[in-house]
Amino acid sequence: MKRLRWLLIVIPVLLLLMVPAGADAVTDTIGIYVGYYGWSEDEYVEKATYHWTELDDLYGGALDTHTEIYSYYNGRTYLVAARGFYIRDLLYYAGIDTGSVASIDFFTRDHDNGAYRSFSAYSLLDMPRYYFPNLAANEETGEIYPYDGDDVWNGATTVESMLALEDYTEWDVSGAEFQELYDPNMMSANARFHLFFGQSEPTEIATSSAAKYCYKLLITFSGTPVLTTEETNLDMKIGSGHKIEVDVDAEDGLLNDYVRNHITWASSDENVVAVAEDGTISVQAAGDAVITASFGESSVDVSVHVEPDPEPSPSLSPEPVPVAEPSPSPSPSPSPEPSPSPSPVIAGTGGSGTNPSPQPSAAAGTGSAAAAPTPRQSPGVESQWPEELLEIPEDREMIQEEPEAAVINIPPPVQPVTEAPRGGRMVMISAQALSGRKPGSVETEEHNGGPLDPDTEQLVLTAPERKAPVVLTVSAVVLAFFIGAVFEMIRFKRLLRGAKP
Amino acid sequence: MKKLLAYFLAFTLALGLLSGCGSTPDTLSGVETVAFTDSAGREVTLPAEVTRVAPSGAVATMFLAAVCPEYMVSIASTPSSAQYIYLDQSLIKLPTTGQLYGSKSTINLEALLDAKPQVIIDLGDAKDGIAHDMDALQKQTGIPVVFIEADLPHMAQAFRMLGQLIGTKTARCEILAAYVEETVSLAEENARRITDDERVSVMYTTGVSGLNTNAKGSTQAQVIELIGAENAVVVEDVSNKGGGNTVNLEQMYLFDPDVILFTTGSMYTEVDTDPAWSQLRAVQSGAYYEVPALPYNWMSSPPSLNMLLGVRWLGNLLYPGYYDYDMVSEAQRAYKLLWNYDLTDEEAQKLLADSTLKP
Repeated sequence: MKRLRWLLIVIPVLLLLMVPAGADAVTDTIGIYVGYYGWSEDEYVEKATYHWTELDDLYGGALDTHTEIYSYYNGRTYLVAARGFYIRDLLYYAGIDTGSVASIDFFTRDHDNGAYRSFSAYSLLDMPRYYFPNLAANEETGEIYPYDGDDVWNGATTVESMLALEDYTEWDVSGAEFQELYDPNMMSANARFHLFFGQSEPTEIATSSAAKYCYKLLITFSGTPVLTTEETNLDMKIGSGHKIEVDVDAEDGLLNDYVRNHITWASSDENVVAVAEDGTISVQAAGDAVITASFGESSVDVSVHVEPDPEPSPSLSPEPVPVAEPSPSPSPSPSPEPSPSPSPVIAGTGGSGTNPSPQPSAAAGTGSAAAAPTPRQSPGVESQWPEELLEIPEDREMIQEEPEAAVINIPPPVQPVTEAPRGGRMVMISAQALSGRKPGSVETEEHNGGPLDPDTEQLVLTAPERKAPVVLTVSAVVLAFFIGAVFEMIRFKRLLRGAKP
Repeated sequence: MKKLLAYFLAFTLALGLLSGCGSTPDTLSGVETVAFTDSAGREVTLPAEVTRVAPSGAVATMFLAAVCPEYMVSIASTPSSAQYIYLDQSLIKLPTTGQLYGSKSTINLEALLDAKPQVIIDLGDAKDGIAHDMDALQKQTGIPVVFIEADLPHMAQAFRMLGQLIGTKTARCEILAAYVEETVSLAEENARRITDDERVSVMYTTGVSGLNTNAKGSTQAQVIELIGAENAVVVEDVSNKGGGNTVNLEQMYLFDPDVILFTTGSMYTEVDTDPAWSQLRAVQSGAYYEVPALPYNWMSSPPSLNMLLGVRWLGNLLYPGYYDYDMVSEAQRAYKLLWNYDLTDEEAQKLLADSTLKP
């Protein structure tokens, strides 16, 4: 039984291990992706992908191809004759400024786990690299010696880093021998795209870095994108909103859009100014806050100053809260009845308590006021209120009582429910959530069936829970069946054992 | 509890394995089909009209490029810049799919499936387990796979089977089959006529060092004995791999061949000045040659339909009295027949410069 149990574990594991990893495979296309340091692989933006015929001048492609010989050493010598294009030319063709490149990662078909090799731009594009025709190595000891008996550096020539379209390689020969023997007709395209870059000095060991089957390059730019904004200081009114625009200057135009769409926004004081994911700020209360737009290590700040509303004037907001609509049914005091409102965003007033309170309507003309100061407007925002409403006539008396509250966007009250319909849940939503201080962060807890405090609690329904996907349900049934069958088998075997004389 | 966990783990692993198997394409859906029996005895259902084929590797590429390049939807590997001049230009832009099966598989499954072939064709020697390999590849890809035995003794029949499989190419395949039979018959007849005292011993060597030889009995060197010559390299454990058996210079002097054949990139240009080689009788008599190698080596690597050229070339080189024809004309005829390429006199002379036309 033990054996059976272990077989049931070992066999699937062995089967899984037999699944082949990514096999070697020549590639037909090479993709170039750009990004910044610290980005994950899937954040890099595709700059271009080329079929090899688009690049090979022998087939009408765009890049000049060159035939070069490269030498390598790793205890043995490894000589290469390759025809391909220089990496520098490929980047130039793709519109990439090599002066801005920090590093290049090479991804190959025979390596599944991330980049096969990474090179700094300096080591691949700027550092002098050579072919050493006089490099030879003792096949038994690996000791390097000059083929001509003089100096390994004799005859050394500089080489450019290349992605080869076809190549021919030999081990254990010196460059001088290789040059005599090799024939261009011997090249094959079986390892396309094959990276070659030569040696910085004769003893450099880099054979394994000559990546075959390259299909993707990740180009990492040095520095960080620059974020700027013209709106560094804003004066705003309580209840107003505004979308902050940020300019992005990244190394590549493709990255500008990517960065712009991935900026994270934060407010130094959400109680004063809240900020949404798209940079839209909504002013909650008087005070000061700094809104920061950031991407990686780059950021830019916008200071927002909010003056308190002047008393007792009706708060005229040149830019009303987006959900606000004037309503002719004012209700100046908090309602004692629970009145759940699905719209959490209602402009608050100082001292409004914990329930959402309707606000004075400027259009209703319900009160008079002493000459109230003209409300300040957010910079760059035109007032949508007629001018006559912005000025209080001098002959009008100020009403000393509490100004009528304008009702803004209170939908018809939802009847409280006491039991959940089929498939639903009963939850309690805190008043804070309903007040709209933090849209989206609804704090809930399961209704325990007890009485509710009408001032702070109310019942809402959640959507019925989604049914488990059919696949999972079937899998669970199959699993249960399998386990049951195994146990039955065990039980049967025990019975048989017990039945034997 | 432990047992429950063990069984649950096993089941989960098995489920994970099975769930990794993606759906395979149904290439026969809604088309008229026929049953085809391949050389491994497998009955495979194929579309009645085949116009999209994929080669399983390098040998199949050579055959299909000769029969129906326009029907190929993929290629094992792109021809090199030296090769492509002689081949159908449509091969250049085909997606490369690698060697589709075997221990040296380099299959690019994604490219193969994207190419949407109606059938994958494998041609070559009938190795042990070939039926299993074909079944496994068919299951892996969801595409019908057929094997056609195509070593030299079966090559004519291989072309005829291809003609049966690709109905529109029956006539073309018959022409190629006839060429195979003509070439093999010529070699067999001349080999019978060549007497023992006329028999030439040949060493066929490869690699930079020249010490990798294709020994007697190897598939890579089968042309030597087919045309009536004798392979000078006799070893116990014959290797059929491209590099052959490695020997040393001492053995080479013991073999003492009448003629040495070098592949491109070997010691051919060095032997007359190399002190280790220059004392060989074949070198001293000038009886050493380089095998022509475009678009494929005429002798081997791989040993396939390119050997047809090798038979005619080596026979004419070693026994011009028996293989009595102009090799330039023969080469031009073969290039036209196999690759539809009009080989010029100059190109043919260049190919033969280090062998037939060697001063």
